[in-house]
Amino acid sequence: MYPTDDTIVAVATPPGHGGVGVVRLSGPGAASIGGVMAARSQPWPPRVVTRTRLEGVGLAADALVTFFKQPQSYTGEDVVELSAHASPVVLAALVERAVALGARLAQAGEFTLRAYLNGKLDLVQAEAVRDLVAAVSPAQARAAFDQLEGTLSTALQAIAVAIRELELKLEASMDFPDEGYHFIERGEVGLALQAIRHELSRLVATGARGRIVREGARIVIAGIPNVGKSSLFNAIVGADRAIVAATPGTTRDLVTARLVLGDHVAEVVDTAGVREGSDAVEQEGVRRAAAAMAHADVLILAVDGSRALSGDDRRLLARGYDVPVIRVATKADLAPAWPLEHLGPDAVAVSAHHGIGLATVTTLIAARLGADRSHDDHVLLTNQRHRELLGLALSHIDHAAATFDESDGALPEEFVAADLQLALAALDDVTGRRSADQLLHEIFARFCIGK
Amino acid sequence: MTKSDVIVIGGGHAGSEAAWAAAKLGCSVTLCTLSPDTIASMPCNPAVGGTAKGQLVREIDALGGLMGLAIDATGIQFKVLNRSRGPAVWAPRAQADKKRYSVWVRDRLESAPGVSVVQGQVARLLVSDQRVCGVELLGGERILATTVVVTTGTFLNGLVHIGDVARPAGRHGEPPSLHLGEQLRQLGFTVGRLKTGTPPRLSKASIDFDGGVSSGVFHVEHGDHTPTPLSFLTGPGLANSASCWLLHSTDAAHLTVKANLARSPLYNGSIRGIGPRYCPSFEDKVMRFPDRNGHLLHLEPEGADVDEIYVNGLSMCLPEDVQKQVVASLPGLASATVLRPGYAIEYDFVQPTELRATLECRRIAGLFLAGQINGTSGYEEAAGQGLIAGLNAARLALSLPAVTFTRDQSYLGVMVDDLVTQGCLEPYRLFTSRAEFRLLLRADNADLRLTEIGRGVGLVDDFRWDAFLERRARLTENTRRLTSTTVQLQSKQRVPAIEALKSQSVTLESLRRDGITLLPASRPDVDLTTLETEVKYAGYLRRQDASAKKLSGIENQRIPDGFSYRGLPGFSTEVVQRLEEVRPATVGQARRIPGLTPAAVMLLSIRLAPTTGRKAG
Repeated sequence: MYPTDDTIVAVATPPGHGGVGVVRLSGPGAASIGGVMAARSQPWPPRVVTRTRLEGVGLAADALVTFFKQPQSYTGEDVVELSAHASPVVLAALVERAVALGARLAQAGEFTLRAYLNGKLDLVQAEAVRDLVAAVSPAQARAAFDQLEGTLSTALQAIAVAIRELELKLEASMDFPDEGYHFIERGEVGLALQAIRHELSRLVATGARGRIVREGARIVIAGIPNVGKSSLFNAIVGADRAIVAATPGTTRDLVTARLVLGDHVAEVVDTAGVREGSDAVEQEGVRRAAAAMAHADVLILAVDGSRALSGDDRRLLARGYDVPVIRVATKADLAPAWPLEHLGPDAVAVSAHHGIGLATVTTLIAARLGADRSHDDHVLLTNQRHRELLGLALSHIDHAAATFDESDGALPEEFVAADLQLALAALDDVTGRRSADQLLHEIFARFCIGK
Repeated sequence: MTKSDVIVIGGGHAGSEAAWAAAKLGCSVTLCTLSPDTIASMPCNPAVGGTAKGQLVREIDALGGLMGLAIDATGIQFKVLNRSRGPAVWAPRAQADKKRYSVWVRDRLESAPGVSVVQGQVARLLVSDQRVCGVELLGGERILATTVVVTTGTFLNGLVHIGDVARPAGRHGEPPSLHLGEQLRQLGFTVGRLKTGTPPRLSKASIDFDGGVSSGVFHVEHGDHTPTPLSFLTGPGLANSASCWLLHSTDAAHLTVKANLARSPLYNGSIRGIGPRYCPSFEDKVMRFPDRNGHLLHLEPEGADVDEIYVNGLSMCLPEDVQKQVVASLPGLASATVLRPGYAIEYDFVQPTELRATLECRRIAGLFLAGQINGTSGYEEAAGQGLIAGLNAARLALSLPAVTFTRDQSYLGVMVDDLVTQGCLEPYRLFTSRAEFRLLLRADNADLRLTEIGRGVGLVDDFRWDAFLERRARLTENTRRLTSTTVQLQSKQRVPAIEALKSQSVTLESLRRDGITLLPASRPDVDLTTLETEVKYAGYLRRQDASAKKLSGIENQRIPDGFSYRGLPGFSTEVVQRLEEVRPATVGQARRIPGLTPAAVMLLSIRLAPTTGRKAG
């Protein structure tokens, strides 16, 4: 683990050439090191931007210097930010100078770690910083920002309060048995458990969507061989990535590409044609295709619009899918062999070569992905760790409810309380209210330098 | 001038157990008491046990203490509370015959080898070089000792309030300890002030119980059909010889309280000490819960041949004439005679954050504190601390290593850890909800948790040890029988009995009807409860056991004595102050200090970790 009592320095803006680069210093020596660099003897007024010629950096460097006095800073410590021209050479020279004056190069995530240690952020918010920095799609940025603003923390808090409230009443009835009145009636326990269950499962249910937002939606193109899946893939992705040839069964493995589609990051997957394959390699491709379809967030079913539908086509179309499906008739530049309506009301006729229908497909994908942003506009479980812990909490609540309903004779209420305690512990682990272990080290190790 | 290994100041429940434990280890013990007649007296309710407290008494007993045996020998009504709520919250409790209880304990102490009971008031502790070396009595006599256990209860600067009369007293009618309280302040201890109270006592002869029952204002409370003892050593054959009665207060009494509120020192500003929220005075009940139209009161006899009735729930400190009016306005008590008025008492206590988990003061070596002086309330809490303090005072005197108890092992551990990490803002009592591993800390398995430890540290004699070994062997054998015998389920399927028992509809009793024979138990409440609980709730017990073990990482990370928190960056002044007050022995303890954020605890853990990769300085 890192020391926490020294002064750290790092470039806080992304590498590469840009307009402005920021070097950030945090710690007890931030002001004095910054002061030497700026050849300034008197203390800075906090939160005032000063234009300064920096000294001793080996090259001419003008910078805007801002001093944040602890605890009113990102990390809760004294912080000095030097904004200079974003030349990697200039920024590296500034960092080097700060190190020469006693600062230490910050490790990944160390600024945010200090913010967490100084109580400026809770764990959920700290994780949100990482996500916000890494966000490439508007939905990712929005979810991370909401989380940083504390919307998830607030939602969790409300559930924790409800669990604590119920536990409190159960505990009171166990600890004060001869008070002559009931702290809670049996029916009330059942109702409270149901209410907690409802709220918690609503939150857990946002996990599927949260995963799509954070990790990207999986858009899987499926169809029998040689209907033009790879051409469609290339047209959507906009690059000649998949091998396109007129021999059936060319795409033997999965081909994927990531792109930002409307609001979302999407991973488009091209699969091998679904049919009884002739050789082992192709059969492996078909098996992978089936697996990819099982994990799709949106499925594009492609059939050749210029030929009669085969038995394999019909089987593919008739199968039940529990994810949104977009039906596509390809080769729309050729004469259609059957009316498009045969595929259903929302079917799209596409020609990859002539760019027909592609915009409709991408619009449909975006609509399908955005479709269920209905119930909770802000709270979204985007983080795998949160999803697991809340799933665990929910399983404890389920267990408590089952314990309480047991047809074989309900267990005494202290066992309900035992489950509630575990559910609470899981919630507390999400915000880091009580955990102070390896978990944290792992979380903070994944930050990019400077944040 | 005499010299003992251990001096115990005070002969209440803490002092008695402390002297008894120290003597068990072979120490010479001087017990200083104001009056041998008040050894193990019960100035408040005449009962031992109850929620969490019953479990605690079983723990004291499992470690060779007096309390369980004393209440079994002198109890007049036995009852297990919480029967419907699950085995870990089943709580044995008994009404005591106060006089006989006190005499029983006094006899034990006076006949214990090594114990001498000295009558006298301790004027001051003899302290040299931050180490205690004896006491000086009020007459000037000095007694030297290696260690001293202070168990002065409510006597430190005690002030008894009845209406507008406040007089210094340790208990009603007994002189307070003024000098000792003063000396503790001078030695630099953080001393606070608490308040507790007790209800009026009525004359049994003046109450028409049968009339009250037949007119429906009293409800009789009997003991359990088969009384459950508090001690593991007590055999079958306990009997209930007394009943209690229950009634509800009415508006007439509430109006009397309201009309005279200005004469209650609780409401006219005379009392500044903080009372327990869990045990409010009758004045508080009436004023704070005006919507309740009746408060529950219990009439409890103070002994088989004693005329006094204790009115549980009616603790108050109004003037005597008002108390009489309140009593007379209660249903069925119109002609009851008040023998003694209730009163409130304010007293000094030492913030227990001054103590180590051995109950030794960090400030003065060899000085141990136990009982109400540490801010606790309750005979059982006092007795438990007395045992720990007496044990460790003796071990220090004998140059043996200290003994502490953990939270996953006992209520003793929970209580001491709460006290030394949290301190007291109000009188502290144990609740089952204070134990995070409650399912493991049951009344039935206190011996399995602690007797072996007690044996190892010198508290458990041969008689108890042999009985324990037999009990443990019976449990093993009975478990084996359940595993190796099959029974037929309703579905006609045959399964091992131990599997069948996991169903809520199957009990050991029903298995016996199905032909399973178990070893005869003299104490089915212990033997069979442990067996049935550990089979039926095995999943829950395993889960708690696992989380107890999982905690042991940072929980047990040691903080060196005298570790310097000052100048540690990242710690606010408030956090440093809390840490310096409490001086936690482990990071686990630090984690439980109020106001310490998880982040601060993590910082501390980092600071204490081996300094790999750290720059020098």
